[in-house]
Amino acid sequence: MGRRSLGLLAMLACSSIIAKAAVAQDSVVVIQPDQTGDTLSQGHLPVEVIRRIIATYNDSTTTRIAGSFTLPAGAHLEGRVAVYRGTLRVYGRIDGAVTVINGDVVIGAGGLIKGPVLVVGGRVDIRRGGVQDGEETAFDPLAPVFRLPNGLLAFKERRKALSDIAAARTSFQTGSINTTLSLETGRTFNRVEGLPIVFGPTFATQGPGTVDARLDIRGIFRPATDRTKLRDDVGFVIGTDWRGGGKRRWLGFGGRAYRQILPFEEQPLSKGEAGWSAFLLQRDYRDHFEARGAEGFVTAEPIRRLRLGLSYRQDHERSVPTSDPVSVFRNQDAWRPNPLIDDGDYRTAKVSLDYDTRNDPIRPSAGWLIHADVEQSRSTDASPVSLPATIRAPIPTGDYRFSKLRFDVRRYARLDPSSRVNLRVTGAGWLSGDPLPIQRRVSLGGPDILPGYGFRSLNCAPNGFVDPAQASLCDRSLAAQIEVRTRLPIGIPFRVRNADLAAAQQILGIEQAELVLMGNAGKAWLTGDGPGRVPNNRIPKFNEWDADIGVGLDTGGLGIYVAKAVAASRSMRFVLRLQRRF
Amino acid sequence: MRRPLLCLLVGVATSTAARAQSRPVAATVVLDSAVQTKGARKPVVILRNLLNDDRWDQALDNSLPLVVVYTLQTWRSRDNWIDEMVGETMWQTIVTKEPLEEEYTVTLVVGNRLQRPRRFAVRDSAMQYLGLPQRVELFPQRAGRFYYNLTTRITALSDRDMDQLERFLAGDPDLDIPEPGTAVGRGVRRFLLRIAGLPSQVLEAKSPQFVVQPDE
Repeated sequence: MGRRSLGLLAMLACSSIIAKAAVAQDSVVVIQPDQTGDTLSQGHLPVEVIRRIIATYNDSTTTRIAGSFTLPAGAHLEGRVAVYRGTLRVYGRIDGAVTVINGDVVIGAGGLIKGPVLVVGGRVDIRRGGVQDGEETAFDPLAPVFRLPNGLLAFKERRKALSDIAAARTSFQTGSINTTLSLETGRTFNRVEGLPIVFGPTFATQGPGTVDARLDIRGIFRPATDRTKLRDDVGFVIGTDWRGGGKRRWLGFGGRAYRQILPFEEQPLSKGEAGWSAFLLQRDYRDHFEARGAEGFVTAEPIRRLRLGLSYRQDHERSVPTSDPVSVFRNQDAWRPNPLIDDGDYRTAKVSLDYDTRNDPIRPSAGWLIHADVEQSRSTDASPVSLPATIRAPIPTGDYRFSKLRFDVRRYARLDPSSRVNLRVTGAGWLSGDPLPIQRRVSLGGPDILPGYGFRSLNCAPNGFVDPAQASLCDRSLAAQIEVRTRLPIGIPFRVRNADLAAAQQILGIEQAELVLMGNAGKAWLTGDGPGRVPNNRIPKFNEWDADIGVGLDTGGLGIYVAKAVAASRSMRFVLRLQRRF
Repeated sequence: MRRPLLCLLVGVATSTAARAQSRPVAATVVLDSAVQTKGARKPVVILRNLLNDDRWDQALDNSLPLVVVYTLQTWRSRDNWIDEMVGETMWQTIVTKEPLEEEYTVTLVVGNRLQRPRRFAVRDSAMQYLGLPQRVELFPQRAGRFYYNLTTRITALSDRDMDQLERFLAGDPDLDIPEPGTAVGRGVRRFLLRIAGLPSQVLEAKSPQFVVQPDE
């Protein structure tokens, strides 16, 4: 019984005097999840609902109430009523629509609401003797809105991401139309455009009935100077998107006209990572071309998480040269040339499928992600780049047709609470018709799919073919990836030797890091008959594939990996990723 | 009046020594004693020593709110094969201290919904409340062998997060929005939080297994 015990006893004795009533009655805290049972919870507040509550609250004919409000017995309110951040208790009568934003509605004994009730960020509680006569809709997630000094509500933007730092946006409401003016970067950096600046308005409305409409008008300013004057300094995308089909908005259609710079392939790095690589290290891992044209599309979601799409576009695709934008390091080096493409007018029909059951789009640990699309293109005026016959037979003049398939299947699964396994099979390439144009050809090698191999080291370039642009030349590619992730049991602290910092501040570290063991295998090849080619109706034997294995540390987005090719005598390669591999 | 004042002074004086001996925070998940239909059991989560742990106690003393985020997963055990996660639920407890008044506030946030904050005039009352068993009203609905896995993340907030918390408590929902932005943005943010010396701790616990019988 030392000093410590005495102190504790004294504290307990005193606290029992002061706070006995507050605590003694509790023996257990009951956590009532929104969704009981064994299904994964999904919280979602449709954007159109947010727009609707803002429009309702801001309507001059609405009776606005900020904070809790009680309508006493015998009192009568007529017309629309909207409450923001408070509980509406009704013991009297309301004739009209009631909207409660981030609060509850309680209809007490004798209370009556004759009209629809919409509650966002709260619940409807009808007590014994209370009556609600009309449609009742409630969304549990809080509405991301805030009150302006003039008493009106406005949509609250989420905190700005790093890519939004140089962005400016403002929104205002005119009737049922919400207008957003924005000025931002193109969220990437490349050797053709530099850092593109995107600007223009977006008009969005909740249309009559169950249709939402959206119109985007975007100008694109390209600050990097093109000394050859082959590309324009300004591009644009004007698009409209209509969605309908009940609350689920399962049907969509729209169209767009565009003049923009597009990448050949979406690998070996994501758009953001490729931008950082180019900006910092003068290594642009993507190739680009300019597309000018128009597209129409229809999408449908017959069941949740499954989206089918059909589109048709007609555009002029043409080569664009490398500019010389500034990079932080290696600025004195020359950029890798941007490959020439097979310029021409192309008409392309595309069918796509997307199926996404992942539990988290950023850090998934369970579910499927499937994407597949088939596109068929034709051109009557394609102007092909000259390639060795070992790569591509001459493209026919007059009527040039080809089709291409792309697919990406990912499976995320947990092995146990702290380990998971992720699998991916991805492929792309020629399906039928004439040989693919340059801008549709594929390759492997690089940080994403085969990190043990150098950038485009598997691009099907024949021996002796010198191409500083390192263009992708293969007809087809196929790759499989597996990774096992194990959460490390301890954090990794680093001590900072700075006496000016407090002791606690001298520690910084990584927590929740994951150890990643990975294996990758893939093959990119030329298809058809002839030496060095694989017949159209088969894929290369697995023992002909290139493979690598590696290990990495993912610290929650920032990842460091080391990979070594298995089937070739190549040195180890280090890769820094700014997001999960897949 | 003298007696409570005296014992309060004695308590404060000696509690300094008591708190010098820090006990680490611990989280456990056990099964509720009540057996549901077909043998299902509800999880009961217990957090011990949050305010006995110097790191967190000091953070509170420095007016940094503590956020305890509980992630409870329901797993189906499949012998000799990969276990299957069948459900997940999250809630959080926010602990704040008003330094001038020595007043503690504990707020429970379940599924984006703020519960009425509990206020405590003394530390021990808050500690006792925080250590109460938390029974989660869920259990598996189908047959099989199950267990619960609990991940408890405790963090002290930065000034920026303080603003966010205050806005959230005032009705803004940001606190519950998954971290937005790019991977770079999130990575940099975490890095800065670490540099700021703000502690963060993750505890894991697993419940015993139980069997839910199939329908007859």
